[in-house]
Amino acid sequence: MATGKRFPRDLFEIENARNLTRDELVATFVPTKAFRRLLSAKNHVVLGSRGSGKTALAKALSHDHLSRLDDQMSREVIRSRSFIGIYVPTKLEWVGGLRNKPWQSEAEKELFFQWRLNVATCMAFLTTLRSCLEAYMPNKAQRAKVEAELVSEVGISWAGHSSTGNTIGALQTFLEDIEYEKQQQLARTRALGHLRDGEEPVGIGFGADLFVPLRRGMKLAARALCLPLDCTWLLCLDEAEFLDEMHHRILNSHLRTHSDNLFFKITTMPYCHYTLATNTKVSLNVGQDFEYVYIDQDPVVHAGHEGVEGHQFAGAIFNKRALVSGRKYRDLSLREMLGGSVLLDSKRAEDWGPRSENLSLLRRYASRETIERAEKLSVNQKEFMDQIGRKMHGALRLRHAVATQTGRKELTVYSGDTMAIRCGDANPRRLIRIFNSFLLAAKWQHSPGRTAVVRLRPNVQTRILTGFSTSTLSRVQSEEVNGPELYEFLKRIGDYMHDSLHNEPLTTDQISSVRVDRTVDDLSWMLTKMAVGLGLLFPNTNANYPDEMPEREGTFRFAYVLAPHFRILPRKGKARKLETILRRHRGKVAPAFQGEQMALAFLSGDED
Amino acid sequence: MLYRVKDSRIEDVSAGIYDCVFFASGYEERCTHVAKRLPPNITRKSVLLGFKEAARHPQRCENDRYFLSNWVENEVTLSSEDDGPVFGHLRDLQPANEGHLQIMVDYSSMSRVWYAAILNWARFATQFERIDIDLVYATGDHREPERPMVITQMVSIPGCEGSPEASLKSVAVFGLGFEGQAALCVLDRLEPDEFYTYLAGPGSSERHRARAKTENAELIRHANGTFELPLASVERTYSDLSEVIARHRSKANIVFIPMGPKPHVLAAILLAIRFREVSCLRVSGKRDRPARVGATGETVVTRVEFRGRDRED
Repeated sequence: MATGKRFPRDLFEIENARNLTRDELVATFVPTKAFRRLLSAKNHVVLGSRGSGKTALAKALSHDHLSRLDDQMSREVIRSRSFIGIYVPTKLEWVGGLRNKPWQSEAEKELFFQWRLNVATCMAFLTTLRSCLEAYMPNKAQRAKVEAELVSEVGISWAGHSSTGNTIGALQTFLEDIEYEKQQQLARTRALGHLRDGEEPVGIGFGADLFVPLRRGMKLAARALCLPLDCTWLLCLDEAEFLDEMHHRILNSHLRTHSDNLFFKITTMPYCHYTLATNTKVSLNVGQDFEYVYIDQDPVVHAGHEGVEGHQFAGAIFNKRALVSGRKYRDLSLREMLGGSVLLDSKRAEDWGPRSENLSLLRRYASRETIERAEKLSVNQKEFMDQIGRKMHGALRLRHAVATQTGRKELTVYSGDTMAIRCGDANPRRLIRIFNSFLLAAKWQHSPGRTAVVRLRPNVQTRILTGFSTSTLSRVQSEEVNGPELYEFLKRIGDYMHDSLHNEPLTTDQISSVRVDRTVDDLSWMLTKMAVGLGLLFPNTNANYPDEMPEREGTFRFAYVLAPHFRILPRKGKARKLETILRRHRGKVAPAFQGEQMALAFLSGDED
Repeated sequence: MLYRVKDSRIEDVSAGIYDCVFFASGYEERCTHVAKRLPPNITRKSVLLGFKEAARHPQRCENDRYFLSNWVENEVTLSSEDDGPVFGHLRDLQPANEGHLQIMVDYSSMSRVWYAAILNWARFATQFERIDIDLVYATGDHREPERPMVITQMVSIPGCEGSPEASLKSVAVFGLGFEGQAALCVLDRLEPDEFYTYLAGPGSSERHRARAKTENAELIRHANGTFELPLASVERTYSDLSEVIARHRSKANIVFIPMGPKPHVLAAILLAIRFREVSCLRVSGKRDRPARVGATGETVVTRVEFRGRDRED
């Protein structure tokens, strides 16, 4: 796409890739290392917390998006016809029509899931087919002829008759109709207890084994489009966390069977690939049948050293959206709008002079050992800055700001571009929401030929980030199944970190992570996994196995987005054992968490 | 087909003659409010549906005693998600007037799955020329719950799955009640392109209307539009919501998430029955203890008429 293109919508208002049009997504997509990995003839299960960009990745792999990406590798893939991606969403509304039939037996549920997924994949295949025809048949007349012949063949193969029309649009309408009719037929049969006299089940052709209709379509398309023999089809199944374990088992069976030229890219939340079991006696083998790809904080392609990557990624997201979202965002930079961060931006040695405020704060808030160590190191400026200055600056400033906040005086320290980016946790949705909150509060100065933003005051920025942080935590309460327990769990961790920062003598390491070991109780472990899924805890993954989720053992960083709420520093520090944190609070608050059993058990059903 | 939705009055129900009436017994105080206002001789047959959940709650036992003494000989105990026994009773019905079946449903404390089942059955039971269903609702007096509802399930109401088409944009319409956090949680999951909200105004009281607005302030702030629709008129709610979605039909998948009072839930279900591009989600939850809901004394009565052959179309 031409970089000068602008869209009528303000894309800062749209934080979910699902809601972007194809061209909007293509224009704002930031390719990451994971994106490159996924363009391969391998089965992958993509793990990412909510808002981490799974849908954007899955959509970007589909042919109609990939063929428009301004990216060298993508262009080569399209030109060589080496990979053809099909995007299939399994969103909540779709799954809602699967789970609402509790009367079905397990076998009926499996068959119904397969039937609907067959229809959904065929529907998605048609979108890809249209894109392939446009890409590989530039002559319109020839394209129309091939489309008519191909659609007719595919229609006969799926429906058993040729009355499905001879355009892709007509075949799509046919599929929509049978999907609706199937649901209506099931509802009617349930209500009346029987089919009508002489009535046949709807869409018998899609009752075939899973992906059989899709494979037939692929085969016919390959012939009509003269695709090379080594052409690989990628079926991108998005949002598999909404499916059940049984559905995953069925899908796993297809990952196990090593099909010829169809590979799966399944996206789900961490710990939400519910089983490795298959419909055969042999379970999936990670590394052999498929690989996990963990995308939380997935670095941007060609990024520099660690720490800069997140900043670059966030900057790329902001800049790409600003570029296409309207005239007033032209030339807008985060630094211009937000300024620097008092707590996080790197500090100079001059800030630690003998009469400096920093040194005075160190003497006031630091532990005796830390002060003694600082005095010893003060003879060597570099060592002092590396071991004391850079590590303690933010914590000292934050502690002092909170300690001296009185009455109506507002806190100002959660401000600056680095702070905004850090609180986004490299989570695209979170970042876009934060950016949008700032843009909505921003004021603009108009002068001939230029619209410039007025820098947001630090107290306003702090108010916005704190509100965002509190809202993120608060929403957890209504999460499915264990929302209140998770809320209490996160609150305890945050309160502990707050106490440690504000009520104990400071050292060079602030607590920012929790450590879990084999002794962890079931509820705490379940809540830990839930928090990882929501992007409120992040596992420190093993450098050798960066895509594997820790199992009942590991260190998990508290999400930076929660820092403003708890008045803690969004910065990597040391870990404290989870049990120690929970034990400290046990008996103080919220009996719901005591005894590792939730007190909430009353089903309200539908009565109210 | 769904022929007409119109408002009615409890006096008309009292004077009616029904082939069957359905009541529900649960833990709410208001379960018996409508039954106590009606003479038992209005019907040839009565069915009491009892929630399997919370079967030993003291209020539930009291409600059961009342119904067993005045309306029915037996209670049908079933899960809030089970519509099988409801269909079983409906299939046995024979109208007093040939071809014209008349049913009354007190849905004040009834599972959405149960009254949706009755509506679905009526839509599909083409052996009758006409089916009239009077749906009666006793307005609730809600005491504030101490902790927010926790979502346990989000599924389509059976028969209201719509026809979701992946390539179309999505429009969500939230019916608002007092569970603002839960509604936000659903919004996070659905992530529609556009969403609208509606709440009861006038509601059962000004206090309830204000509370619904406060609890859902964040959702309302971000919505593409918010509408206040009268609790007392399903006819008006049905009509106004039809207009809200009119410009999106054929261009979007429309999903209703009714989390407010039941007359607003009923309107959403009827729209999902009426339009194939409309689906209706059911959000279920749990609380740490049952919400106490009494009756204010007001009732909302709606007559839904199904007519003609091929009603499901």
